[in-house]
Amino acid sequence: MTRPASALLAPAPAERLASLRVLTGGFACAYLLFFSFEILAPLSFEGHRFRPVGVVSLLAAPLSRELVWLLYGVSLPLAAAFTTGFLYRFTAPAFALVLLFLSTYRNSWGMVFHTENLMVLHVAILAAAPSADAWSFDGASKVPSPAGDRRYAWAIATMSLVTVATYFVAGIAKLEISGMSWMSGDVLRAHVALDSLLKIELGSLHSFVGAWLVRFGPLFSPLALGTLALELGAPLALVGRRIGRVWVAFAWAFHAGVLVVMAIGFAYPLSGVAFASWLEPDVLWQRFQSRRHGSSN
Amino acid sequence: MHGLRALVVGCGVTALVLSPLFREPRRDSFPLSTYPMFADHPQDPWIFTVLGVDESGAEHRLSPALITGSHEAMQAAETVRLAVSESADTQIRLCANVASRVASAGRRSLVRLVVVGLQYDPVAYFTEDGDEPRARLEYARCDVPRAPVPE
Repeated sequence: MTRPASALLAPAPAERLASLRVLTGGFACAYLLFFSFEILAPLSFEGHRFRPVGVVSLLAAPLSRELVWLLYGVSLPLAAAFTTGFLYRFTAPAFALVLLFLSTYRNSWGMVFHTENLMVLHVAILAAAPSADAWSFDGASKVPSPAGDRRYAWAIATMSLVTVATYFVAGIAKLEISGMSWMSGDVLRAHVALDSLLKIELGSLHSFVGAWLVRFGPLFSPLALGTLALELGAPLALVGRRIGRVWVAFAWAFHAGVLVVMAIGFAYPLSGVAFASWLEPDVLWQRFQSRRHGSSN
Repeated sequence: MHGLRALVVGCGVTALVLSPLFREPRRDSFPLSTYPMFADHPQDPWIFTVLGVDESGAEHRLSPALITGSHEAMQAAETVRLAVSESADTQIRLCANVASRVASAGRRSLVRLVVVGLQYDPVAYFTEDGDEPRARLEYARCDVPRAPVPE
């Protein structure tokens, strides 16, 4: 096996995959609760605004109010079951499908957002994997191999692959649409200015930092170069764990920058959960536990 | 069995996420996106919105929630843009829907709404004295319904 492949598919303990399930499921629960206004916003949209995308394209017309409420109502206990690993074989695929449908439905009204894509994809991957063999109701009776197993590694590797792929696709889109001129920074500067202006005209909260930075044109060329380097260089994050973590740090900083400059919050990457497949959360948890026990003894 | 599932799901999902590379980059979808949001140069863009007008004729900005029922500014602007790109009937219907939300929200100072397109140079707006739109188009006007005054 090549070095990147062997690093990606190195045997992992069941707890590692389980910790990703808990983090991703926990984030999805919080998303469903805190973003309920946005998820349910289509209930107040006029039917003629329906522009279905993805799986929702199967529908010829918007769903009834009752059905949207039912899907949302079902999503909450399914999210809890996914997170806790309760009847996982049934509840996890069901949750992945309901989450896919609900979030696609929210994106089917003339505006495609890009904030939930990774969460939906990660939930789908975890739902197809044996993610509830530890740290779960289902896993209570199972004794996972302490040395780790490849069957827990592929889903972790796929989560990293998919994360990297989304950034890479975003970088390619910039080059395909604007060519090398994107690197000049003019496009980025115009977007930062337009985003602030649009929010001002629409009576919404805009970034004062972004509006101020627009005055400094030369600043945007390095910012544009950095953005493209991060996106097109994303596959490097698969080469090894250490390089992967360096990329994760830059990717997180990039999203923090977008939040400060454009007041656009990509909550999933900003929470760190989107990058948890590089971070061995089970090891961090064990360290936290042993430190806590150490300090209490 | 696990090996087969790993191969099918692992390769399948990754291929799906990369598949937008082979379609027109501006054709977006969800969750398999080309992520085109900041790729295009917005040359002299138009911003479409609905403005409230008071008794004195002064114009006031409306929030995305009043315009669409969502808190997303982008979605509000896109909703108005789509209505504007369709028929006059759609523009009037949008105006009437916003007017009923404005009335329900108790914005009594607003008597009329106007659906507008505003063209700006966004960079000039922040760097020069460019805070007036370069061009303005009006698409529809409607009155804000008056709530009956309780006796």
